[in-house]
Amino acid sequence: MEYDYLLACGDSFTEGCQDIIGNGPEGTWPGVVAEHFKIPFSNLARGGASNTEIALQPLQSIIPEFAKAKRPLIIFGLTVPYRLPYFQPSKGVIHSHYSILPENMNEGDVRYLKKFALDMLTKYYPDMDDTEIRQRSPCNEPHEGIDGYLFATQQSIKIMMQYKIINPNAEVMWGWIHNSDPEDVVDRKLLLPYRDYCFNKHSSWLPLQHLTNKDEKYWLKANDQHPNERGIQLYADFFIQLLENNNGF
Amino acid sequence: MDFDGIIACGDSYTIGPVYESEDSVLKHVLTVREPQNAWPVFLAKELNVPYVNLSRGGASNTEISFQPLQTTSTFKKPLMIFGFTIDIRYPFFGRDGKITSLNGMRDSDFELEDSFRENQVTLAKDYMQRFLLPTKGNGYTGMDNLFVESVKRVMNYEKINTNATVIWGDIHSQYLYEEHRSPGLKKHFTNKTMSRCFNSVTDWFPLQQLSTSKDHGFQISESDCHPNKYGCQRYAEHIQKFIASIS
Repeated sequence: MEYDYLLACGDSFTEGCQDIIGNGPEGTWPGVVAEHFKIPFSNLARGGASNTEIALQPLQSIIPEFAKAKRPLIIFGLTVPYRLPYFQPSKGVIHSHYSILPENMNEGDVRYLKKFALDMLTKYYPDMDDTEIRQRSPCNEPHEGIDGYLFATQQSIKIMMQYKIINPNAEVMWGWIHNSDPEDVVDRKLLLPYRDYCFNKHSSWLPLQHLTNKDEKYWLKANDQHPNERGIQLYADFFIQLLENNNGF
Repeated sequence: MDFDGIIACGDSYTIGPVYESEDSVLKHVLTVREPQNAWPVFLAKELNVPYVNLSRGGASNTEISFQPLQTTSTFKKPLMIFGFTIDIRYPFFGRDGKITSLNGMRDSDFELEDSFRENQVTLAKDYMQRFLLPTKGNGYTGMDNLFVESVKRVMNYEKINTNATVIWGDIHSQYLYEEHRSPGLKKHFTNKTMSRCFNSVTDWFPLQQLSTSKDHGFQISESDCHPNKYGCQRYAEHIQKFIASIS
């Protein structure tokens, strides 16, 4: 394995629910992978992050160690598409709404933010009200074409690949870890022209969550499908095997 | 300072002169763009390096800070120059997933955006306008906080590519004859970050002051404050002076 630094970006499935599991960054899958290869790492993931926020995490955080790396690897763990990125007035940084359900839009004036979020869907759901949002969550109902949220994911992937241009020594890998349906293959429309860099090609095009989805012994709690320590080890094993074979490609 | 190319980011003050005139016969507005007379072009010629100009008219400071993510240049040691702008532009993510910015926060700006993008952003305008008010956290407005984070973000490009050099400063401003940024706001930045601000060579005035004169000889017209070719040359001269001062 040729990389000398691992930078991981993502949502809670990469952040590793550190406040509950209590093993710190070293106990997350990036930490386990870095320990296996004896390389330094940073885990910039944040629970609830949208794909847009995930793509921009390397620019929002201070990562002094990264600057010393000669051949860094950046892994982006994508998530569900329907989280709305927005700017926080109090901090000036990009943040994301956990979902477009009103109770998850807790910053500022919910009325306007909700309408703004729904604007991303109006092409397909022009008259959706709160009840319908719950019944017809866009992630659960496949539809033709792509809406604003999938466009946002597509743009996010494009941004992720740009880090290879900004730092020609860096390698980039991305793919879905968390998704609305862990047993459904990832949306192929979003992959082109960067599919060679998508780690899901080594997981039968399924999000990594499918590794832990069916068996509760890998879950954080009975009703919480975030990976526990055993689940995290499965994700880490996937990346270790991937990186040991031809540096992940 | 060692660099093999320039990546210029900014708004209409970086994009190069644009002249508009009404054709009374054809009854439409004629637009003549002069990207060859943008300040990055003059600077690149003086420094004898290639350049890319990623600026976009109407860009907010936040959008400007993300412009390098669009580059296709393959400079190994880029000099990244960020020309910041007026604060009142709100950055948001459009339905196409791309970051864009409102030109301002007036009703007419929202209406313009609506007709331009069919994006119904007026639905969110009350939320966006709240960025103009002081926040509870630190007393600065949301726009101030967006600016601070934009500057911190641009300095992070040096951490992502250690061969890159970042410089930044205010070019376009609503405050021409005073220090654009308050001393309190500047306290958010490290000494290194402040040492990369090219406004130090203009006594902390925005560069727009260099193209503002009584005879309007350095701007597009009496009513259009954007710099013309000669104004852009003055911007380039001063940025070059700054580069020399830190080399």
